[in-house]
Amino acid sequence: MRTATMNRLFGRDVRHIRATLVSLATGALILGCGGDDSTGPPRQMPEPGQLRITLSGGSSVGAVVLTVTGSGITSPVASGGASLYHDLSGGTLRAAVVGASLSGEILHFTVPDVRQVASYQVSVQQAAGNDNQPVAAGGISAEVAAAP
Amino acid sequence: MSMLSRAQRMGLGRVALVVVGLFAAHAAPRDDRALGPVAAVAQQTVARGRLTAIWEDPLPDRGTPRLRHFLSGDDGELIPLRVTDSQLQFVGGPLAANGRYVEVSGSWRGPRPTAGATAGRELQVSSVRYSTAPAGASAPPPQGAPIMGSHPWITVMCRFADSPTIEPHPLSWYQELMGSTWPGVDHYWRELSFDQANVAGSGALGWYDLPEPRSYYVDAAAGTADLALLKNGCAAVADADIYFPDFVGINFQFNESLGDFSWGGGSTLFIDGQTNFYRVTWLAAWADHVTYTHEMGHGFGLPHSSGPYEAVYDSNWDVMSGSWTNRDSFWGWLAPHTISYHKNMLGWIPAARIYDAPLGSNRTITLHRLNDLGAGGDYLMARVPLADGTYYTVEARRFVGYDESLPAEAVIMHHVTNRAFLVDPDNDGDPDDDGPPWLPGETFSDPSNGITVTIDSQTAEGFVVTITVIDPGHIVLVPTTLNFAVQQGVNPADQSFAISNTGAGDLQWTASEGEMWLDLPATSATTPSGGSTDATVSVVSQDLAPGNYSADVTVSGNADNTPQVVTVNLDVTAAPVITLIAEPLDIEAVVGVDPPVHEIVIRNDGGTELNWTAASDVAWMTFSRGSGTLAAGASETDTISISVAGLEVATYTGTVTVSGDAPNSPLTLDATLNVTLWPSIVLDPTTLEFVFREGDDPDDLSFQVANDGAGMLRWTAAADSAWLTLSATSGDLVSGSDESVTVSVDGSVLAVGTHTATITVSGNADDSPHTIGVELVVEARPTLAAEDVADHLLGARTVLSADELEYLDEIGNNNGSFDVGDFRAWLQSERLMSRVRPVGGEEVAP
Repeated sequence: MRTATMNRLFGRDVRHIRATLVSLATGALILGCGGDDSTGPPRQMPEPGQLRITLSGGSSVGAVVLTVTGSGITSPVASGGASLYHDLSGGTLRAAVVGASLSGEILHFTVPDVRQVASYQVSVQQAAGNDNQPVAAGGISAEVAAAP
Repeated sequence: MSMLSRAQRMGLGRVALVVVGLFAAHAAPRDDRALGPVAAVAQQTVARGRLTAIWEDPLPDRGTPRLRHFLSGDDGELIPLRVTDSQLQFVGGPLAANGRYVEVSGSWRGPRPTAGATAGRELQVSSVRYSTAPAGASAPPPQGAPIMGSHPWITVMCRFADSPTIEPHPLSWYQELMGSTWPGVDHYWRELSFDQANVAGSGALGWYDLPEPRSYYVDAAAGTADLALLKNGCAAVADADIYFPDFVGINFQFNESLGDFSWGGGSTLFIDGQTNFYRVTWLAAWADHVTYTHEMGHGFGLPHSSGPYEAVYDSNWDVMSGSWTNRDSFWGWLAPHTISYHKNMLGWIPAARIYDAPLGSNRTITLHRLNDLGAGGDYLMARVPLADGTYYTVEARRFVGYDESLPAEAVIMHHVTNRAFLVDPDNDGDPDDDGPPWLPGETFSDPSNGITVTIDSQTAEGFVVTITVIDPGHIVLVPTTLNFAVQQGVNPADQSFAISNTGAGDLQWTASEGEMWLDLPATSATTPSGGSTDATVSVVSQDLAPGNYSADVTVSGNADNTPQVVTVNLDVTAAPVITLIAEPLDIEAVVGVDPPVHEIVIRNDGGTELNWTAASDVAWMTFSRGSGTLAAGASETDTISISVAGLEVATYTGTVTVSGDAPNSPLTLDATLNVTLWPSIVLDPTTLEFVFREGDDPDDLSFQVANDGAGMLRWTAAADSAWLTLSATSGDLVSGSDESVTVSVDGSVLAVGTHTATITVSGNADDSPHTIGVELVVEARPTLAAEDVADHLLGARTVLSADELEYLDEIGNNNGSFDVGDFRAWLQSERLMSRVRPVGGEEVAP
C-alpha cells in the first residue's frame, strides 16, 4: 500500500519536470520569431488553396469555353460531373467545360495564395446550349471566387 | 310514458331469459361458419317461416338498391333467400306474401357474405309455397291494404360495445323526429295521408349498449351487416324499457354505419312473450329525416320510384326515390311527399278523386295539388291506360308543405309497370331537370297508345289538364299464314296480307319481323275504323340453303287485341345456283396488240348439278371452254381472250353471259375495251446520287414517271437492291400525266464506299422498260482524337483539316464554323461526354 503511494508521487514529479522543459523550449521559439517583426509592418504568409469558377445568367447551358488568367494556376478540375478539356500555358488557363446542364460552380483549380483571388480574371469565350446550338457569350456571366 | 310503465311491470329477470334464448338460436349458424367453407356442399332442406321483403338502401355510389327476401323465423332468425321473381309468382309476386308463412325448399349456400344479408348462410330456393301459420301466430301486416288510423313506431337506439360514447344525435333529436310537430314523422305521415293515417304514440328510447362490438354485427370490409343479430340484439338490450307489442313498427337506430346500407321492411321478433311480425327498419348513424321516412315507407309496403333510367335514387319528386332538394341544418335532408301511385297504394286517395281515363275519351279535368285533399273535390290523380296493361299516372305538385322544395311546380306523370317510373320526355338521363315537369301549353303525347295529355292552365291549387285516349282499333289480319315455295338461289314473288281495323277508333299499327330473310317494305300506317291496309311481305331467299323456314310478322298498335301475328312459311328446294366470280372487265389495249387474257370462275352454289354455257355478244371476246357441267359446290375457270385485230382507236363495250339450268340463270358481266395508241414511259431524272456518312440515313430523293404517249400507261417499278425502298411500285397514268415516286435508302446496312443500284420502270408502253441508275457514296467518319479536337477548339494547336472541321460542324449545329456546340455534339456521338480527358500538358484527375 505504501509502495503504491510512493510510485504515484514519483510519477507526478517526473511529469512536472518534463512540462517545465517543454515550456522553456516554446518560449525560446516565440522569442525567435518575434525578433524579425520589430523593424516593420507584419508580412502575411501565402495560403495555397483552391479558387472556383461559377456560371450564371444562362439557362440550359451545355458547354462553355473559358479563359482564366492569374499566376500559378494548376490542377483544374470540372465540378458537378462535367467534362473538362483544358490548356495551361503562359499563365492562362483555357478550358472547355461540357456537361448536361452547367450552372453554379463548374470548375475549380489550385493557386499558390487564395488571398490573391482578386488578381484572377475569367471570361467566357464561347457557349452552347443543351441542343448544341450557339449561345451568345455575353449573356453568360462567370466569376472567380475562393472555394468555401 | 306507457312503454316505460310497461317496462317497469316486466322487470329485468325476464329480459335475461329472452336474451339467452335469442342468442342460442344463433349459435348454430355462426358455429357452422366457423367450421370453414361449406358452400360446396349443397344441402337440401325445407324451411318454414314468414316471407320477409326488405329494401336495401345504400349510401349514394356505395351499392345498388334492391329488394331482398328473407325467411323470418319465429325465433328471430333471418335467413337470406336466393329467390327469383318467377319463383315468387307462386305466392303472388315479390310483395304479395310479405309477412305470411311460406314453406321454402332449397339448398344451403354459405358461408358467403352478401351485401345486406346475414353473413352466415343463404338458401338457394328451388320452390316456395304458402304454408299454414302456426296456431296463435299474429296476422301479418296486410299488403296492399290501406294504411289508416294509428300505427305507432318505436325507435330503439343502440350503441356498439366498442363505441359507447358515439351518438349521432341525442335522444331528444330522435324523440322530436318521432313527434307530431313539423317535421316529426307523425306530422309528416299525417300530411301525406291527408290526416287519414298517423304514427301517434311513437317514441324513441336509448342509447342502449349492445353486448358486442360493431365487428360482431357488421362486416365493414364487405359492406354487410347481419340484420338478425342487429335487431335481436338491440331489442334485447332495450326490452326492459319497451313492451314491443304496443307498436306496429320498430326503427332500430345504430350509432355507427352498418356497412354501406340502411334497410326497411319487416321481420318477426320473438320478445315480450310473443312472436309478432313488425314493420322494421335498420338505420345507420347517418340516417336523417328522409332516411327515416323513406325506410318507414318501405315498412308500410311502399316500393321505390325513379326516373326511367338505371338509377333508383334519381327522382326528387318522391320520398321513395332520391329526395335531396330540401336541406335543413338540424334535420338533414327533409323528405317531400310521395307520388299519387304510392298514396293510392296505401288507400289515401278516395276513389272519387281518381280520374280513370276511358278509351275513346277526351276530357278536361282539374287536378288538385297532391299535398292535401282540398275542399273542391277536384281529382288528385288520373290514370291513363296503355294497351299493354300498364298505365300512366298524372298528378299536380305545388310548393306547399313537405313539397316546398320540389324541382318545380308542375304536372308530372309516371309510367306504372311493376313500380312507378317518372316520365322524362327529353330522355337525357336526368329526371330532375326541366324534362319531367309539364307546364301550361305543353302536351305529352304517346301516339302508339293514342294518348295525349295537355296542360291547359294553372289554377290556385293545381292544374287544368285535358286527357285524350282515342278509341282503340281491333286488328284483323287476313290471311294469318303466308306460304312461299321457291327454288334455291332466287327470291320468290312478294305476297301481302290485309290489316283490317274493325275497332271503333283509328288503328295506328306497326309491323315487325325478326328474321334476316324477311323484309317489310312498309312497317307502319294508320288504318281508319272499318278500313283495311295491305302489307307486303318480301322474302330474300337467294342465299338460303334448301329447307323449311318459318317466321312471324307481328302487327302491334292501339288495339284491344294487340299484337297479332302472321306466320310466314318458306320452303326452299334444292337447285343449281350459278355464281360468277370475275374482276371487272375494264380492258386497256393498244392498237394491234392483244391484251392479256382474263379469267372468270363459274361456281355451282346449289344443291344439284349445273350445266352452264358462257357467251359474249361481241366478236373481240372468245372463251376457251364456253360450257361445262358442275356438281354441287364445284367450280371451274374459263378464259376470255381479247382480240383487237381490226379494231381502231376507240372504246368498245360488250357483255359476257353465263347461262344454265339454274333458277338464277342467266348472269351477265359487262366488259369495256379501250383501244389506244401506245403509251410511253418518261422518267426524270434518270440518275440518283446519295452521299452520306456511314451509319446515317440520307435524305430521300424522288423521280417522276410520266406518260407522254397515248392511252393508259399501267406501270410497275422495282429496285434491284434491298436497301432501296420505293414509295409506289405501280400505277396508272393517263396520257400526259405523271406521278412522283420517292426513293429511300437504309444507310445503316451499307459499308463505306460507293454502291450502285438500278430502278426499273416497266409498263404497257412500246419503249418499256426504262431504268434509273442509283449511286450511293458512303463516306467514312473521320477518326479524331479528343485531345486534337479540344486543342483546336481552345486554340492551343491547329491540328484539324478543313474537311474534319466541316464534318464536326455537320454533326453539330451546322452553322458553318466549328465551335463548342459542335465539340459537344461530337463528344456525344463518340460517347465521351461523361469522361474527363486531359488535354495539353498535365493530367487532370476526374
